[in-house]
Amino acid sequence: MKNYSQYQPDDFVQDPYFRKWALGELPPDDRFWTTWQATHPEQYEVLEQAKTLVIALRIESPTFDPQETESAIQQILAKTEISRHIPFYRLRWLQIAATILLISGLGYAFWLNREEAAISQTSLVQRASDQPREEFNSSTVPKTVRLADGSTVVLEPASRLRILAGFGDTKREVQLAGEAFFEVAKNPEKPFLVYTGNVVTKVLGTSFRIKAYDTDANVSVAVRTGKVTVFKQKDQPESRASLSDEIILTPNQQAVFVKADERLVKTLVEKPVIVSKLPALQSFDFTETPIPQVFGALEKAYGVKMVFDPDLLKDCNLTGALTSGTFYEKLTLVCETIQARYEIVDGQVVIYGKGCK
Amino acid sequence: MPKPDLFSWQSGDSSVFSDGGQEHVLWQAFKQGDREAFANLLNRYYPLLLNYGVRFQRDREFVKDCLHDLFIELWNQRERLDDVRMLKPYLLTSLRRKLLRETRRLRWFREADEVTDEYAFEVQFTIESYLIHNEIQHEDLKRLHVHLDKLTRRQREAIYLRFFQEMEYDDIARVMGINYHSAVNLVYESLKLLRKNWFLTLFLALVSTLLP
Repeated sequence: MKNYSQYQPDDFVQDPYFRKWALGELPPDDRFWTTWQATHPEQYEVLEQAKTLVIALRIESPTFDPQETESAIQQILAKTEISRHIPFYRLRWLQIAATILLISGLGYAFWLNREEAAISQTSLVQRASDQPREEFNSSTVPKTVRLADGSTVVLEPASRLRILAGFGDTKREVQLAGEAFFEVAKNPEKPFLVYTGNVVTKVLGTSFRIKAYDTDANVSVAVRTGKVTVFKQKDQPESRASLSDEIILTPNQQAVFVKADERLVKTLVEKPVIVSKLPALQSFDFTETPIPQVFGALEKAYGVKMVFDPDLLKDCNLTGALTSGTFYEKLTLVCETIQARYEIVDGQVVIYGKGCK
Repeated sequence: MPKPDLFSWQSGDSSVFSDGGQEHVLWQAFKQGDREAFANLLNRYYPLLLNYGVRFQRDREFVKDCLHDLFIELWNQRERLDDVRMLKPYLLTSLRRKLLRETRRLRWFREADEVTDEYAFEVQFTIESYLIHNEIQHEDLKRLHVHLDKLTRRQREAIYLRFFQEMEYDDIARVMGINYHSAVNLVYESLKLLRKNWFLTLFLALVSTLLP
């Protein structure tokens, strides 16, 4: 037990137990200080002064919307997710080993490539006049590849990435077989091109995922952030002759190249993610909110265009929270409420409804 | 005056303010790349770090950007970080350094000629809302309120760390980059200043009622 009878007001102010009492934070059945004050009448004034000081020094705490902090935390978690494998490459001995391997490998690759270039039928290898660097992920976990320009590629198992010769000179060109997530460093001067079979994906700086397994019927390009252009390889983007075959993708959209009829189709990714950085947009808590406003909120948060007739739907409203569930679950819920249905057309959501009375 | 007793809650009552052992385990797991531990760390400390940060910089987005960068740096460098026993002072110190550095940089861009170490530290004391909320008339409190404005920013920060974040003096010293005795003094000087002025006004009020 502390010798409280010797305490001065300042000492009481510093005592956590006393502070709790002064601020009324002790459980009601804890009568220690009330009793103590009654049994120490000579200290009554000291105690009252200390109490006043404690209360006076209470500091206002700004209120933060829990959703605001939550979304900030989620952003940090998402941002660190991608670089999960980086520390592996930071290990000193591995860097040294990799350098030795690279130097000896380059000599071998150069010798090998002269033959390969001659045999290969694809224009891609021929385009690479000197030796390309190649990364193959033979493990069972994704592998992070860092490129010279600061971009990173997370290569899925059994996928191959070829960094074409002259990478970074005027263009940044790579070739992919399999699946990878790209985070491309911004550089408008030097476009970043990914060749996958007949599909070329061109970006300036963004993040996206490409699935192009030889065994799959289709090639898909899904955009996380930024803008991406996708076109068929025989159409040179410079020529601009067949603009119709060039597709521009925004976040949460994906392009699928149907190998069978060599067609590029624009659609939405399987699991759209919230792309807006404004936390306010992520609270989907509605109280008799007009439907056009609800769709507007979804549109902003996911960056996906919603096509509907605002006049027709202006009398429909929604009460409830759309905080959980995927984008499509939210969409279904809203549509059920207003007796409407939706379709994904050309990477946009089109709402068909009769309106409400 | 029982000085030694005062600081005994460093060991004796420390459970009230921290759970050192558990934090240590959390930190170790985080360093080994445990995502759950990282999420736990964020949920536990993000709000109180934000609370501290906005006192230096009213621009909340700026503080959030700093926190964003701070946690990403922590994650990327987790294997090389020291063993930390008490997380709160460690994180507060890191954020404080980052905030001051970024603020300086910002200021340097805006007004290139002036770079100083000055910083603001804003705390709002809640006397008024307390009085209203509890529907009490407390003349002493009202008088005291006037003098709270006289506290310096360093005194405010020490008081904030001591009473709001409930930290030990050696941790306050580390966060503020001062020695232990300076940290103790900052808090005691503020209390002394408040009491002195408070009694002075009390006395003046008494005199004025006696005078015709």
